[in-house]
Amino acid sequence: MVVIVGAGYSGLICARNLIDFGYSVRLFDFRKTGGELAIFSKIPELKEHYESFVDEMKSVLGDLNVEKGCVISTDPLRILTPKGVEIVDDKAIIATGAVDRNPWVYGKRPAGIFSPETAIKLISEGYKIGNSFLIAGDGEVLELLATHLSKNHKVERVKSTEVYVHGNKRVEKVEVEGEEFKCDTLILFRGRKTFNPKNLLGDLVGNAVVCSYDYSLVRKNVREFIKKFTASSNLFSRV
Amino acid sequence: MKDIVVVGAGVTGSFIAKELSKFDLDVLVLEKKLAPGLEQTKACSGIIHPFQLPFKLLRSKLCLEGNRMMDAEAEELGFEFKRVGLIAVATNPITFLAIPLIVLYLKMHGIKAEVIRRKKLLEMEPNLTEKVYGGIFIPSAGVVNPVEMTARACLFAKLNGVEFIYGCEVIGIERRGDRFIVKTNRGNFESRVVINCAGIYADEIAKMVGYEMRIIPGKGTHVVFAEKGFTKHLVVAIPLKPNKRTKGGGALIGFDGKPLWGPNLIDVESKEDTSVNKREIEGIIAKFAPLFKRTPEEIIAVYSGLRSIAGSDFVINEPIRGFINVAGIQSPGLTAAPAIAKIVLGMLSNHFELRRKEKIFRLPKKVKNEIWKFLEEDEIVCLCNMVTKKEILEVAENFKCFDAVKQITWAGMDCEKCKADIIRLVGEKVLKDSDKGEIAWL
Repeated sequence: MVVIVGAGYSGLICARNLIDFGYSVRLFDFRKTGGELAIFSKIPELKEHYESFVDEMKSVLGDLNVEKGCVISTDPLRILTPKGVEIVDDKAIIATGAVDRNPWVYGKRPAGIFSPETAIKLISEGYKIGNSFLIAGDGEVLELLATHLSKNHKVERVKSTEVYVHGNKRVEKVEVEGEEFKCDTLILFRGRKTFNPKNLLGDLVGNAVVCSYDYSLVRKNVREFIKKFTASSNLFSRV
Repeated sequence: MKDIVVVGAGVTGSFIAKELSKFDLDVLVLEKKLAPGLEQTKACSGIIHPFQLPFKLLRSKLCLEGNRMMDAEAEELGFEFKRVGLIAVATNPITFLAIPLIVLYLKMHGIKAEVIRRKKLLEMEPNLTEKVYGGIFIPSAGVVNPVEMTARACLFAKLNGVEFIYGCEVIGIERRGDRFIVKTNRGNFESRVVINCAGIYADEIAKMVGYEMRIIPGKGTHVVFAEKGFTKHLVVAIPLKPNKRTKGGGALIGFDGKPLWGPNLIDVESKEDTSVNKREIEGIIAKFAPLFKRTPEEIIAVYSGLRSIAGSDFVINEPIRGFINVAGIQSPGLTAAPAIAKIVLGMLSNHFELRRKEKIFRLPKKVKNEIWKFLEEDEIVCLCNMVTKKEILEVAENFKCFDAVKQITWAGMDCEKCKADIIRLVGEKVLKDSDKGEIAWL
């Protein structure tokens, strides 16, 4: 038995491939199936960009059973489920994905500072997160976000993440390398890191490894992982 | 008419309110912010200090007493308090030679302290630099979540009949006979006694009754790192010469185990100046990094708070009959809070016949960090700190603001994963439907 932690792109693709290969798989997620890609596909510009990955994910979904549960430790593997704690004797594949680094800033810390991850989630749920934006940092996802937001708002872009924020209750102005930007919202991208708050041990796969918004890298990692995993079947007992 | 109006629900005002709630008194607490502890308290280091030098000061006495009281307070109110202990390391031969003397001096003042040899020191803190000579371990130092501690005191007080009004700013106080009229943006309140716990604004409140004092905001900046467990204790270097104004900060830890380096001390002009600049952060890191083999992984937050400094000591007095100042509560105010409340209670015995209530209600116990919380009717929102939807909604119900939910539950304080969920949950709870579009303006 293999336990896969996380039912986003990587978890789902792994689950399907391992099942097809003959493994017995249990797939857990404590949030909604589809991970962040499911969220991305609610914003038109992102939806278009990530379409092939979303389609790939949908194509493997089929009759995959995603159990609601949160793996809180490995060794032993403990899973928190709505029915209580389940302890199983299996190894885990960690497909918990990536998370944006905290968008900390110099200057003040008023409301209106978001990581792209938080901004995307709120926008995808129909919330208005600001009127005028400065988007700071480097990455394709920021351009997509900028395109989306600039349909209805003033949006400015800088690459530097060394920002100095002014404003008491709400962002009023942001200084970047001597230049001033008047805005009420700052989206700041400092890169991504592995999301593994319970420090689960096991094989990490997908965005938990590559930590990116570039899903072609995630796809490559998942494919290589599956190849390696199925080649060394001695790691797990085959059913 | 009220018996007592407390101005300010920081840690000081809240602990006074908590203590007063045990007596037959009609008490009202007025707080400018939307929840307790969101100004000076939230931006302190969260350290329960073992002592404060020099020992002759009032704040030193109250620090020692508050430290001793803290276990019972944590038990009574149900907040998290860990005596993680403090390690003071000698980084040069001179401070190394001073160790036995310092230990003796601390012991003379009733503070447990033990000499730690270099080898043991490196076992206790493997990330310490090999260049340390030795150190002192002081087990009574501890850590709390300051806003949680404050909020629990307020909830206890509220449960026992104290009235709280948040979002309420005092704009004037008028003496009328043997009573005071406290004027606020939310109406006027008449009271026999006023207790001024207004933190950095305490001088402005005191001025309203004609008492002149000056609070100088002393800014303290902190750096928070992601790497939990980098140090297990609070780590400071033994200074060559003690600084009269500040203990000098340290490589501290938060109550959650994350490295928390700082604070520094910078006098600032404005009572709103909580800005952080790059130089300060570089300065703090440059100051404490030499104590270790490496710096902890990843900065996740930098923040500044203001100490309210009125000279070298706390100002606890009654300049006008019925008007009590609890002002200039700088460091170690968090530690001293329970002891300050006791003093104030003593001062009130001149005004009231203090009768203990027959029944004092207890807050329900919190079962924290327990995995069986993930029940059918609840769900985990913040996986890093195991905070559930129910907990978030409960705090949002009590204190209708996003900052309070974050600070009290600690949800979303480690990473970005659940921030949108928290904003949404709190927004739905505290905002009217018509405001939903502006949710992130919180």
